[in-house]
Amino acid sequence: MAPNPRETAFEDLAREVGPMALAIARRMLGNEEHARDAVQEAFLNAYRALPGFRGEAQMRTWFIRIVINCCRRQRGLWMKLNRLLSYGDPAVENAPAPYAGLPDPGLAARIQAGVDRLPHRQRTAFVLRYGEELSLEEISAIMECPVQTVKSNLFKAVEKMRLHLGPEV
Amino acid sequence: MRESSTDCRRIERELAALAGAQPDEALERHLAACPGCRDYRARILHLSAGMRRELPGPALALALARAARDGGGLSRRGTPLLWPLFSASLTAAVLILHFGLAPTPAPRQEPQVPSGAEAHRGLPSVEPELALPEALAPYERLAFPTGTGRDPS
Repeated sequence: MAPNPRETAFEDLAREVGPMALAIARRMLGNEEHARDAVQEAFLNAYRALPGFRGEAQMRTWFIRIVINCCRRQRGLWMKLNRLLSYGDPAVENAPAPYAGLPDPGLAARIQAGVDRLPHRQRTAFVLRYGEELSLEEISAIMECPVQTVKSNLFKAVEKMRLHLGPEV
Repeated sequence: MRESSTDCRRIERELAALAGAQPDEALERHLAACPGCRDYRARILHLSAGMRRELPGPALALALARAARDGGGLSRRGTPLLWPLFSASLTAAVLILHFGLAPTPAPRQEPQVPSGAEAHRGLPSVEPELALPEALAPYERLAFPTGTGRDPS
């Protein structure tokens, strides 16, 4: 029996972009469990949308955009839940996101705490550029904005990270 | 020649966007001449190195992809399903309160009404008895004279 093209494309996507998607989600969310949930949700959305994928964007770009959106949704969900459960306790609201799963408990953990405090678009640009070393052009395609906007987001993110990390960086 | 601080600010923006990538010749020239920007570049590289981590293997990503495809997302662990479960329970509670807990009555059975042809099947037809033979037509006028309500024509 000939392989189903949808299944083949999906398996290829999972194999080629899946690890990067997981790494991005880990950095975007700072939590292994949430990252896995976001990536699984992204795969589900991608599987449903695959028949309609017209190939106008690179499949990797298209899928990473889905991952970023799922991370944003996941993060929003948990922030709301935290707020609900803590009854607006500022100590809980301002607590840094957990960064379990990071191999280096030192600088990487402090960087992750800083990343977690960045606004969504700055965090996205920073994670994709500094974490995954994607080109500015690809980041602009993922974020659907001009390269200059990506640069501006990166600069603001770096400035905030430097403030967060102090003299270390 | 020492470049202005405005230029340094612009170059810092470029260096921030550059992250760990190799600067071009113009940037290299500026970095060679400007200790401030060189220091900025070193900090950026430090930040970039701190972000760099090993990419996870494909096994976990494949497992997540297959679970999403085969389970339609139902295999996800409990916590992310909290909100959908909560909203579903709330909807169910509202529906129960609104419609009460009484069991829904079974739909009423409508009596089967036979069609005209079926209803008359097997009954003797009365039409031939009502038809008058042609020979008796003249007597019909006598049997139903004018004024009896029967149209004589």
